[in-house]
Amino acid sequence: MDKLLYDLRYAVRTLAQTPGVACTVILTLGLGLGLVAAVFTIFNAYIFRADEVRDPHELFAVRRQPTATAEAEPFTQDAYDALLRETEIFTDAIALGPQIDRWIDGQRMEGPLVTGNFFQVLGVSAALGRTFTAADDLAGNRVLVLGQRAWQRYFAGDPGIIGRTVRVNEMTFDVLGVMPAGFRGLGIDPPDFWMPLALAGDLGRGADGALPVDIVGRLRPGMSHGEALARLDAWDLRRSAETTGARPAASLVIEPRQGKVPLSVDTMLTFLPLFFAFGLILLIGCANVANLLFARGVARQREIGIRFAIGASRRRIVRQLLTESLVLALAAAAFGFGVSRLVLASVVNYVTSAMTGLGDIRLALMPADWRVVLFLVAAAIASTLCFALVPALRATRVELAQAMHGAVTHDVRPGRARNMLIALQVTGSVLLLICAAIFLRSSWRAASNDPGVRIADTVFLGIGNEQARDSILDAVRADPEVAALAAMSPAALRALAGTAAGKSAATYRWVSPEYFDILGVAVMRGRLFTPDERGAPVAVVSERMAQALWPGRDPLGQELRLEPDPNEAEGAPVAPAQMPRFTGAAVVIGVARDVAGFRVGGATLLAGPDVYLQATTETAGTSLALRVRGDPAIVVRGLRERLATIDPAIGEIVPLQELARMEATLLEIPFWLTLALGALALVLTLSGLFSVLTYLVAQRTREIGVRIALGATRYRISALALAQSIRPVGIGLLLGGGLAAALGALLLATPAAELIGQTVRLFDPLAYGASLLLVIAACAGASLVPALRAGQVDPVTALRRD
Amino acid sequence: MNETNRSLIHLVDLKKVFFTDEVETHALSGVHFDIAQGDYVAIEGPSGSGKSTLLSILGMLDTPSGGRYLLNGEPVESLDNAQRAHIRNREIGFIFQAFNLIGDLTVFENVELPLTYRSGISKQERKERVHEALERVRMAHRIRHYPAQLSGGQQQRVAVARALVGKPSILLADEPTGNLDSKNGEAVMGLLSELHSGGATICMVTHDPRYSAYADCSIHMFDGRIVDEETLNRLREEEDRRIADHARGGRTA
Ligand SMILES: Nc1ncnc2c1ncn2[C@@H]1O[C@H](COP(=O)(O)OP(=O)(O)O)[C@@H](O)[C@H]1O
Ligand SMILES: [Mg+2]
Repeated sequence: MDKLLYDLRYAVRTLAQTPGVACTVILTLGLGLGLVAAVFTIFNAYIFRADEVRDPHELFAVRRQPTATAEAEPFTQDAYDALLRETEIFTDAIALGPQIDRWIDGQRMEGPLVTGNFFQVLGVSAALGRTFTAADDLAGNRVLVLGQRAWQRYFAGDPGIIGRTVRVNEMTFDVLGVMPAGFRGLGIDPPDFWMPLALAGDLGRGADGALPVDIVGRLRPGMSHGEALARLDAWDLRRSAETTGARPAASLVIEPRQGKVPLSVDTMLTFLPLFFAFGLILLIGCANVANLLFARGVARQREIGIRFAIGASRRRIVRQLLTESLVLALAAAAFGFGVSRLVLASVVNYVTSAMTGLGDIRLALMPADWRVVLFLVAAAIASTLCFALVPALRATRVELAQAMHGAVTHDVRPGRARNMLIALQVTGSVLLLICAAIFLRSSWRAASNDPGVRIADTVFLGIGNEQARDSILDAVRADPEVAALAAMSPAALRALAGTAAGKSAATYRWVSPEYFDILGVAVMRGRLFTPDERGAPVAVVSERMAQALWPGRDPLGQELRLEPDPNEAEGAPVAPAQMPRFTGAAVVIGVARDVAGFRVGGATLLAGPDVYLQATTETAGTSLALRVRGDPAIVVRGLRERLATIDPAIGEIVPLQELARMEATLLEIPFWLTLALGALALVLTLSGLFSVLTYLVAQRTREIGVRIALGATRYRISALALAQSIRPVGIGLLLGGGLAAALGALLLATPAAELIGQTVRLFDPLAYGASLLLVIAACAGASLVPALRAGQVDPVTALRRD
Repeated sequence: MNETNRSLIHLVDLKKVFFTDEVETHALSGVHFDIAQGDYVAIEGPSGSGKSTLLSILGMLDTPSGGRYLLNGEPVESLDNAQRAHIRNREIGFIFQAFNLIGDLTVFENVELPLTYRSGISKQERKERVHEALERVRMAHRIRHYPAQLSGGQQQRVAVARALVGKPSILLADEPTGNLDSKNGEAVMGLLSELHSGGATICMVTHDPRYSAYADCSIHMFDGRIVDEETLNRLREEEDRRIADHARGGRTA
């Protein structure tokens, strides 16, 4: 203990003597630690941190397991009532109803319907005002509780909001309270509001007790998991027999529900690359620091030799050196904590304000807790071992006699450790920059992709509620900003297309005749639907389809039979159930240009279809495509507000442009991320390269003087200094490029290969070439200054020095 | 002395002034002298008298502030850096007090170094010449060693081999025995004498009169000037007295 104190005091004093070194280490390491801590904070917030409720470990959700063929069937409100009444496994339980979105005082907000006991059972009270009581729910009061984030963001944190009424679409609600910041409502991201479940009917969600809900309860004290499950199963059997007369389709499970993401392979796969990428910066920082310590170790050989001479053991000296490094690392961790908060705040700010193309992203600044602090300390210790152990061992490998004479031992290959570190840094930079370049190129490609449809002034409008279709149509038609409108099935439907030659899979889409004009899909041959043909068995086919079905023949007038595709279930987007399906024969009247469509997050929108069938704006299940006047973004905002008063559950209204840009925008996120990390890595690498070379040149001034005396030209000397960096940089370039390619190959070996391949160009030669060139140029630049300085060494002074 | 065309080195009124922090140091103030082919010249003088500065200029590591320097009858003041490097490499062989072998190169590589700055020598020829030079200093058995593995005397012998290997016109040695004990010092001096008898031209700086006896002739320097031996002794005594006076004055004050 005494020794530790002595070591600590001595360490602090030594560091204070070289504040420049100390600051450099703290900054470099703090940056790396901060970045890793930022990732960990997110990881922690979603995976480790239970929601801020009373005794979260007592909370369990009841869920039915999915069967092999069907999704898990949700509980109904009736089932919740029955479970509460008929079992005693929970002291109390809540029902979490569906998430709804509403316009509240002109802002789009999202939140769940919950039972009146929701807040009591969770044991949280409002930060401001009050939460629901059972009475609020029973009476169906039009009241709501706001989340902290929504209150801050949409009401500017105005305390006067309590007791005020707000407009929720066409209704008015009283604001009862605001929840504290840490409360997430047992979810991952905090909702904007909570409303009583009893309002489901008023809010257009049906009030017949069939409303799907999640059941979460507090397990009775002393009740074991197994016993609870057994009782639950018994109850389930009984109830099934009573209600349907059949056995339940699948068994029930109870699982902890603490408002966090379970740690699974999937979540690890999401976080591992992040930890890896951010960890690279830490690693590169560690390499810089290790290099610095190598240099310092050489400078301190005399001191170390004296310590040996007065009888210190090597262990003791190594421990002293490590203590110094640990002090630095802990200071860096403290600085890193600040960095992590700053990074998270800017990322949250960037994602919520700059990425408007992705809608209103509900992201709150993740809180830091003791786990983050613990993580930082552990990371600091780990990095100390990473950056300080080898230099400390190396520095204490002194030959005593020589150290006392002040002679510097030259290792047989003194630069090897340093070269390795530089190579490692270059590898990391190259890897990150190649990733950035690949994302950028992929983003460009996605942005420049020609979807084959007119997007500039087109807006999609989904009709969520068929009852409101007529009034929505009237409102849209009357809207001065809407120039024209067409109906279309929101997704292409799958069918088997049969001709005399055989059957093949095909997609078809219901469209009204205006569709072709609004989306700019040209008709290459034949003609379009005419309004009076409504219901007639006529079809327009795509060029590709015509070519495939009737190669070399005239498709016009051919007969096409469509039948249900038995494999439809496995296919991608499932069309709404109310969408009419077509079975029968149709005569081809026209051939339309192929539509490439565009990709959004793995799905292709608007691509194909092979066959168009005629619909009208009245056809149930169809969405609308609008041609608008003026900036679609502004038009959409107006439309949303106007239409929300007609149909509170109005579906998505999006400018097609936004959808088309989505993929590019999505790809921009990893691009900026890897670019920022890559740039950081490169800057660290360059500063490392620069200081190592500067150090080498300084350390070898005498050698340079000798070489000049022996007839080396300045050019030769500079070239020699420059050559010092060629090897490690070259190795780093090869390793980085190779690693990127290996990662790419690895990704292509996963099941997601096809999706990844369509989204990013993993082996884009331009991305590789440009990143490698950039790194080469930057390294050459960083090496040039010390190299030129080496060429300017004055031999007389260099040789005079002792 | 006026046979300018026959002398290897011809210095006329050579001056060197250093400017540091607004202080002018006249390290050389008008040096005249010649070295002919085959000479073995010792330069003697107290510390700070300009011996090393003179040697640096002779070796073209430094440029004079004034005067003329003819090497092989050619003026060298106007040469550019690359040409000076070329002449250093071909015509000059340096031997330093601190040996100045490069720590991470082997004995062989150290000796080979001057040849690597020359174009048109094959690897084979380099190897032969390195061996030949190392034979001459009797260090051929240590070619794979690193300098740290050699004694001081051995290191200096390797350094002599490095100076020899390029077959320079002149060897410039700045206190070559300064870091050696007397036994090793004698050995190196013996080696230089041997080389001189073999025809080498040597210019050596020393402050040890014992070693200047090895040379054909000695030049005495004082305060940046060449003086004869008596003058040097007189000046030395004067200076000693001045210092003593100063010390006494300082004590009584
Ligand atoms: N680079 C330099 N800058 C300033 N003064 C110098 C420099 N080199 C030598 N001197 C000065 O020039 C004088 C002669 O130095 P030097 O030639 O090294 O003497 P010696 O080798 O005879 O001991 C000394 O006063 C020394 O301080
Ligand atoms: Mg000297």
